[in-house]
Amino acid sequence: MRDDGSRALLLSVRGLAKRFPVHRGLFRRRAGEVHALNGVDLDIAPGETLGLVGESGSGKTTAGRAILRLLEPSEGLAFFRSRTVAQAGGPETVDLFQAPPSQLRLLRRDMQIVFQDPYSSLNPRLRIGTNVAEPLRAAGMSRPSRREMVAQLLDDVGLASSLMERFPHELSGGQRQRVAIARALALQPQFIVADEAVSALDVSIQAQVLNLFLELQRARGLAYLFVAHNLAVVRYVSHRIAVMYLGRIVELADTDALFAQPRHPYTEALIDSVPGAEGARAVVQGEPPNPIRPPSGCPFHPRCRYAQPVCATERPPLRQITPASAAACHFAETLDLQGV
Amino acid sequence: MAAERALLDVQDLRVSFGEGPRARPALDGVSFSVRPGKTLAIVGESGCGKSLTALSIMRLLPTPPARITGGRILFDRGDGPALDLASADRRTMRRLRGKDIAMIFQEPMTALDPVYPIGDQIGEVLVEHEGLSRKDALARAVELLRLVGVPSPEERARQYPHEFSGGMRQRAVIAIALACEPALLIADEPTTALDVTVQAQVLRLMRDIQQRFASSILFITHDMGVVGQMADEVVVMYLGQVVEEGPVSAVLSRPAHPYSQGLIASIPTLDMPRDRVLQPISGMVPPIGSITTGCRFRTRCPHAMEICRRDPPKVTTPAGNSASCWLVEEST
Repeated sequence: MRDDGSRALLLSVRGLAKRFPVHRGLFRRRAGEVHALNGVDLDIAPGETLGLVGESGSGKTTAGRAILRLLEPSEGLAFFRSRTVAQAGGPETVDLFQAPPSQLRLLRRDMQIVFQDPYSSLNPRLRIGTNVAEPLRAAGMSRPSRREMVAQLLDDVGLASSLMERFPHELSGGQRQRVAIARALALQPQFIVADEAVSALDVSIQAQVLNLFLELQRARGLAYLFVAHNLAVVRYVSHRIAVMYLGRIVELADTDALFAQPRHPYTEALIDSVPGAEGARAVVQGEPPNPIRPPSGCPFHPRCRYAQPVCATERPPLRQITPASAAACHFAETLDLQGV
Repeated sequence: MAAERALLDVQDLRVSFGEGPRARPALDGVSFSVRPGKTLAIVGESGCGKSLTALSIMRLLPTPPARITGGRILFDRGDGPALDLASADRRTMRRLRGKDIAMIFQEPMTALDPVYPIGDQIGEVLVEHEGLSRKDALARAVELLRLVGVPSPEERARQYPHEFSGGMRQRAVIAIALACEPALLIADEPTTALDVTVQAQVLRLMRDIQQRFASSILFITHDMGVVGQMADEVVVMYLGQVVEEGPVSAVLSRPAHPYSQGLIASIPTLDMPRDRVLQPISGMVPPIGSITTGCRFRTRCPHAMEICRRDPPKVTTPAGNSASCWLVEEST
């Protein structure tokens, strides 16, 4: 499993789709489907961070969860190079969406998630030590070695091992997020989905946790899918960035290229909208449309200031524009879009 | 600043949670003023007291446990001496709220009543404060919706809050706030719950409205980018106190207080060099009431000295910022 530049990939997703049923009326009649994700392709190399940005309803959170099979995908393929499965005598790459429950249990060690709100992902009735040790217990590690391992993990995320005896409500938001990260690291995963993992934190604490993610990546060679709505945060941690709109990737580029020369008008609109001293350069009209009734053609065309008649009828596929950028826009080559 | 009369002048405001020996100070001598037609931003992290300050001005503090224990909140109504909101009676406050001072909250859905049409909710303020008839109030409500950029306002006025998107709801809330053309608009994180493209629209709308009505805005936010875009002056708060204040350009480009410096150094921006490492402030905000003397930031400050146990002086730098810090005192 390699990409065109012949890098060995850790994860390769093709044609990922997720549909949710929509129910209406008194008898909750099934009235249709929402396409939360549509034809999403992405690759992640070992030790790499792919940022996933977009506004509400863009599908960024659904993508992260579907890849980990916390949500069952409706369509698509996902190949993952699992160390644990290979060590157990399985194939070198596993098809995540076809993996049987026995294989999925092994895969869980390699793929973890850190959520926005650590308070809801930690068990409030268990001490911090027990919370962090939970995956180790499930993996069959003995009690004394678990304790030693938990102390080490807490140290790795910058927490005193004395916190082991505390309960989640006794910790601050930043400390709880560190605990959630320690637990995600317990089984030495290769890949972590960070789902708005710093969004709820105050800025001084957010910077601490962002730096922790970067340090852990350097020390352990972790790969991240970093899902967030804050463009500057994603830029800080990501090697490459995928911009999502209404369930599709509209631009996928190297971080520097994305900000130097965006290739999709929506990316430009996002950059323009970030508040700052000069004020927003241009304000895009309208709001993200309801995914139940997506627009025809290019999903962004009703809000796009460069839209042409063709944009309302034909949906442009995501295609490579330069070696560093791919965009789903009919006019990606000719538009002179403004970066930072 | 000296000659001009402030619209709102907050002097040594103190708010405590609880009573007697167990009372914890949540606002500890907060002072600032908002000038006519200008925007003052209060910035700080959770627990710094920025929202509490707004609620104190509106006299909407949850009492008990919170109560104002000292200081004055002088509001200039343009006729005669300024009114002290800290000691104003309920009836005066009721007449003032929504008419002279209006507030916009973070979550528009909680500010709107789900069972009344939007038009009625805007009109209600006008019936209450301006004595308009139902019919005239509704007609004015439609005009206000048009003003805040809600498309097809006649139709929208008859709709209920759940039929509005997040951005449109916040526009409706702004329409309610503007109904009586208040002299002071208090906005508490008004765009935090919105998507970034919608946030840009609402911020632009607030700017336009301010120019049109020459109103003053007290803007409460945790986002330095929003401060830079919206405010003329900024107040930085930490643990219930003002640590620095001044013109936005001066505070953002040359912060004088170590806390303001730390706050700015911990925020990633779109134009910072890719290889620059964020410098977070170490540790975390201590609990309210745990440090009650000296510089409250000294437990996290990289420059803390022995003298920081004593209350720091307020020093004005050549750039025009005022910071409460011994180090700034030494260097000027």
